Amino acid sequence: MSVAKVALAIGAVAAGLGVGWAAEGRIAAVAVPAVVIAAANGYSKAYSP
Amino acid sequence: MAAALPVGRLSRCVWLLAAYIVPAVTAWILLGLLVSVLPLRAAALTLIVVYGLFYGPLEVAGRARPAPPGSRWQVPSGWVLSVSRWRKTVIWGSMLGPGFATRNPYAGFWLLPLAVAAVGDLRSGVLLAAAIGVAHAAGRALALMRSVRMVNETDYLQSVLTRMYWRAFDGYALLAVAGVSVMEWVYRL
Repeated sequence: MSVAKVALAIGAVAAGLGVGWAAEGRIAAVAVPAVVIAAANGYSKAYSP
Repeated sequence: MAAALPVGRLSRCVWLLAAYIVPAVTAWILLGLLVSVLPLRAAALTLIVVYGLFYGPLEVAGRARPAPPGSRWQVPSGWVLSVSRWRKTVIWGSMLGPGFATRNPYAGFWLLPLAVAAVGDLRSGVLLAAAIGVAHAAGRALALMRSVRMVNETDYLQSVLTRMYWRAFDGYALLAVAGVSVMEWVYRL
C-alpha cells in the first residue's frame, strides 16, 4: 500500500474520531455514514461482475 | 439483465424504484426490529471497530483476500425465464434491493446491520434500518437505470477502474466509521 493511501487511511480514522468526539455520543454520527455507505454500496454493485 | 428491464419512461422508472425499495424497506425494518430488541449495542459497537479496522485497510489496498463475508448466490435463471418483464423486475427487486441474498463484493455492506444494532433503541433502530433499506435499494435501482442508458461493451477497463475507486471509498468509509464508533463507545457505554 502506498504512503498516500496509508496517510489517507489514518486520516479517515482520525476524521471519524473527530466527528465522534464532536457528536458526543449522538447516534447520528454512526447513522449518517451508515446510510451513505448503504447508498454507495447499492450503487457501486453495478460495477461488480 | 439491464437491457431487458422496463425503464425509459418516468412511470417505468418509478415502478423500478418501487420494486427495489419496497422489499428492501420491509426486510430492513424486520432486521431493525430483531436487532433492536436485543441488548446488542455494546457488542455491535465493538464489532464495528474490529470489522472496520480489519476490512478498511484491505479495501483501501485492493486486497482480494480475505474476501468480505457474503454468498455467491445469484438469482436462478429459471426464476426469470419465460416470465413477463414486470414480474422479472419484481423478482430482481426483491432479491437485489435488500442486498442480503446476493453477492456483496464490498465489505461495507455487513457493517450496516451492525450499525442498526449499535443504535440500541427500538424506534431509532427501525428508522435507521428503513433509511438503509431505501438508500441501498435506490442506489441499486438508479445504477441499473444508469447502466441501461450508458451501456458500452468496450469500456470494460473503465468499469474495472471504477470498481477499484468504489472499493477504496468503501475502505475509507469503514475506517472513518470505526473511528466514530470508538468515540461512541467512550461516550455511551
